[in-house]
Amino acid sequence: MAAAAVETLNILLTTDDARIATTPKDVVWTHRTTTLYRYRSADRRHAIPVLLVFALINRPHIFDLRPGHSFVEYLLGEGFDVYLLDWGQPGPEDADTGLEYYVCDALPWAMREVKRSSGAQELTLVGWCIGGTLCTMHAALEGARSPARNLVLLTTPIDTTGSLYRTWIGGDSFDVEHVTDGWPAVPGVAIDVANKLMKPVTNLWTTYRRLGESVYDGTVDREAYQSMAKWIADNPAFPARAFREWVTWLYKQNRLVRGHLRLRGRRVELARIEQSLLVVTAGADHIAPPTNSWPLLDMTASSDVEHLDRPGGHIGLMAGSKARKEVWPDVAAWLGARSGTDASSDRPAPGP
Amino acid sequence: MTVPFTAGDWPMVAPLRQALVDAEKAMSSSMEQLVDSKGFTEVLGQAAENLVALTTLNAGVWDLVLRNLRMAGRADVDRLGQRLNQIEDKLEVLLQELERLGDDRAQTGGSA
Repeated sequence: MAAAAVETLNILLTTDDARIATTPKDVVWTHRTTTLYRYRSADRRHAIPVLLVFALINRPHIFDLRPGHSFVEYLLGEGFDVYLLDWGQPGPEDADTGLEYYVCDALPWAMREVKRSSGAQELTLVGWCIGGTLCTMHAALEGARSPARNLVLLTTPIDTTGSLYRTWIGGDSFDVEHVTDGWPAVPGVAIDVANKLMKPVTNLWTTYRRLGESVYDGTVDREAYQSMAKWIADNPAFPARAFREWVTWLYKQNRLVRGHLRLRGRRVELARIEQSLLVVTAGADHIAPPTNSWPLLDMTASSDVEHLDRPGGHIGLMAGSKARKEVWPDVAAWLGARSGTDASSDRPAPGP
Repeated sequence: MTVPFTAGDWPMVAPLRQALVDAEKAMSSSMEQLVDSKGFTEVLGQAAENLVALTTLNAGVWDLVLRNLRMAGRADVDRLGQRLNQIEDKLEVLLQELERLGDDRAQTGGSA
């Protein structure tokens, strides 16, 4: 028992040593805190590259958690040309960065760089959580003018009705103006605490109890625990303006689904989305429950809409132990059917 | 390297585990109901306001101290960072325009 306790403590204390996001990649473009990466591959078989866009909460390393458990690695193995947009670590100097910057500047600029470096004219946007909402806003602004041919949304909040977050921050008791006046960058740790409080016993006790038990039983997967724990503990700040707009527009006013959202004076209309659309929801998602994504299925102009609902939570859906067998193949198959064939696939892949 | 244990090593382990799991289930369900309540939402909102107010006061005090020591404080560094962001925005637009011109020129095969 004592040895198990010591080992459990050792796992907890050395979590930061875990190696995550190790798939080799090259920097293609940077702007402010944003970096666009391209993963190295010698086996690009699909003509349309994939651009992964993560949330403004936590880091995008979850797409490439660890060898053998990496969605990036899986997509590369399936012959996709994979790019990743990393929003970086915003600080107080980024307080004026609003949703407009992400949707109207950074995302289109990154897409432009993807096109330039890959030589493709179209691409696939894969957005996760807030990243999915940003991609949706982009497609709803640009419609057919967007170079995005396919849109994959993973556990993405569109209509926030009925979510626990809506209960917490959608009403008058949460003064978002006060928060963003005081915090030019909302600390990631504050958001992490809020996320953990949604399922307090599971997040603050059960996780550690299960770890201790698995150590005691000799079944612990040290690498799996540490890589996920390290990712969870890495919480970048949320720029004040973007946070205020996110909370007000999405949770207090639910503007996106009501058609009242405007960015740079232009209306964000979900009915303008013409891209092939795959919406993936997780049955046990308490952050963006499936009901938050469903309305989009009937609101776009796309004639190619598919919905996958799988068991799992907000993150476990794509990064859990079952994702590789139960979710990734379906997503890759859907993408493969809509990504063409790379005519130059018999040539060595070009650099970034 | 820890030698693997089994639950049978200590006879009390299995019942203790089961008791923990049962207690957890009951606690988990009631805590999730609690955090979904209006009362908790009110407390959470006020706690957030208090936290923001405390950190703002703290930052203000330290900034004043540094300023009186004739040293750059966080606010000064942030202002500098904002200016750099603005310059980077302009450079990015300029770079894109140059690249567009280069692409146009390459397509038409013309000379300047």
